[in-house]
Amino acid sequence: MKTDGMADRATRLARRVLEPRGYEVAGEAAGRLGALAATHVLRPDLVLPDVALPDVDGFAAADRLAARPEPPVVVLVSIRPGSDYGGRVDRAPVTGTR
Amino acid sequence: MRRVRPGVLLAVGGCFVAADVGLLLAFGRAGTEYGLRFGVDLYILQIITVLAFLAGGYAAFRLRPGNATGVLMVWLGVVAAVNDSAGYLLVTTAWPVVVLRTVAVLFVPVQWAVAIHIVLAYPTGSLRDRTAAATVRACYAAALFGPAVSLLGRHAPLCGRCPATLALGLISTTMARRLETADVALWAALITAGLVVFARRFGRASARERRILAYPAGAVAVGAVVVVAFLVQVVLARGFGIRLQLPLAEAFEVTAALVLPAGFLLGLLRERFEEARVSDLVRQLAVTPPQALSSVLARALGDPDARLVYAADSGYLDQAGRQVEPAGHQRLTPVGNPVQPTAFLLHDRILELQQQLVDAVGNAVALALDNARLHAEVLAQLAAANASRARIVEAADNARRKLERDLHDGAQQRLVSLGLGLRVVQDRLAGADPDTLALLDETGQQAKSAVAELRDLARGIHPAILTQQGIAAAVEQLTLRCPIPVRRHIANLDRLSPSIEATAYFVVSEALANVVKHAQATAAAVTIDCADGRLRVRVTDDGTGGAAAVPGGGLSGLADRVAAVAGSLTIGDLPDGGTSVAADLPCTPA
Repeated sequence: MKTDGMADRATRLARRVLEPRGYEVAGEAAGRLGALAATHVLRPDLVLPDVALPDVDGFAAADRLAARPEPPVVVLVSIRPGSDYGGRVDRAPVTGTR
Repeated sequence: MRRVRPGVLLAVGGCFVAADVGLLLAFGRAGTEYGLRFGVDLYILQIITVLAFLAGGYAAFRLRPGNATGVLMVWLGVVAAVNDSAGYLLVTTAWPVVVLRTVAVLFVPVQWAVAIHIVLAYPTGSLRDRTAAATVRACYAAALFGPAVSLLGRHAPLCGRCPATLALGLISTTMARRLETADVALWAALITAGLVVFARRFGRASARERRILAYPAGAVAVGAVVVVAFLVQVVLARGFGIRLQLPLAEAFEVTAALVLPAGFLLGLLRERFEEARVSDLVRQLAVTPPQALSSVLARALGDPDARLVYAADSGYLDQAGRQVEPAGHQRLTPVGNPVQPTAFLLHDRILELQQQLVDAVGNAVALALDNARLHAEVLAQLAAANASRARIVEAADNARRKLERDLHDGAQQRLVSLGLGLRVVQDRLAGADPDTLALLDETGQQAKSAVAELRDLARGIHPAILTQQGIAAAVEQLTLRCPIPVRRHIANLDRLSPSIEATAYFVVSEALANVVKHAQATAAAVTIDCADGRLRVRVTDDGTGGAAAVPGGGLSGLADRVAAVAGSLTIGDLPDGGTSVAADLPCTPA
């Protein structure tokens, strides 16, 4: 499961990176609300939300996902270094950041 | 009467005074038995009175040549000097003495007329209202009545060898006595009328006018009470046979000799005192804010209602912008340029008599106003320059923020995609020859380095975290990146205005960069707090110290940047070694 506010090219690229490594891409969603809705239906094991500056929605999405009864593994993805987000990366209930 | 030069009058008065002194010397030793009707001290007082009016009047004339009061006072002195010889028994029938005595007696009422004239014409010396003019005319007419009775009747000499006054003896002695009593009563009435006119004028006077009238009014009140009491005593004695025997003649002489001339002279002298007030005003203007000018100039003019007004389309406005309607007793004097005056002194009409004072105050105020205008212009220019400097800094900040975003959204994004693409290619070419794979790997590393370099560049241009999370998080990140340990004391701050946050950030960033480069420090500390509307940012280290803002250096540029947002930067050595860089900024909320 990949959520992204960025260009289609990036998601295509992600699919090409992930699928050869044995991940099945269950779905893609643009925007936080769409992604959250999709995870309800698709129930993925792994979610890669883009932090997506400037609205920093990825952190909020991670909080919502972590609050679920059976939370998926969440890896925050951003082009920026984690230090650009200050303490928020450390505080986010996620498995990893990339 | 006013055409006679006061100097001539003074000489004439002086001759009579000399004659009076001669009479006193001649008869004074003889005592009351022989030549004097009253005690010696009374005669001395009479001479002092004359001298007081002659000297006081002449002084007043020299101070205010255009004011008739001084001349009138000299006239009163001359008339009083002529009258004085009437107080002697003059034990001789020689004809010059008889003439002198007759003239002296005839002139007695004239002094009342002149005295009332002075009081009612004060302080201008001219009679401006009809009641006052009528009263003075009546007094001069009455001054002819008494002498006429004296001339028509027949006077018994005061002693056996005393000279009688020249008289025609046309009316009986009884008739003459009656007419004389009527004359005294007439004077009592006229003096009362003069007093009423004066009191009415005092009652209607403006505050400023009252100050001028205060001294003479006090003197006149004292004199009038004594005179009226004296006349009442005479009327009671002659008409009703009641003899009170109060020492009123002496009381009147003291009043006339000292209180009256002093009162009038002091009133006129006020102008001289007022020039001292102008110098006070000039001194005060240096420390008076322009909006308080009115109260200062009111003090200088001695007119509590005086103030500074400005011409407006709808009339006049005071300094608080309120509409001002000049009252009937007030006049406007332009301040500064008389051709196109913008400001006016609104003052009492009576001050027109002291044009010099008003002009002096006006000029001083004009200087103060010019000064205030220049001051305001300089302040306005300074404010404009500061605002423009702050806008330049803000524009530069915005440009840097945009540049950072463009880098992030453009080149950086593409480079990351490029790296990922290379990884995918590497995956797909798993079985290719080692050279190709090594090249791919190297290219991937290059892309990674490029991304890292681009990130550093972008952060140097404008830190994204500052935009996103504010000063506390951005400074925290700075301290974490610093190669030496940095303690943080950062208050819990709300978001501040972007230019303040950016300035505070660059202060910390530049100061820490300096610490690392030059200070040879082992530790540093960053303190940020906001109190009393000021954001205080301080970076200290335990290094060698000696940092200074050299022109063109990083700290100098920082000082400029801090000044652009109305802050100040202080760089100094700490007492126990090390450097302190402290910025004091406005704590402007976002």
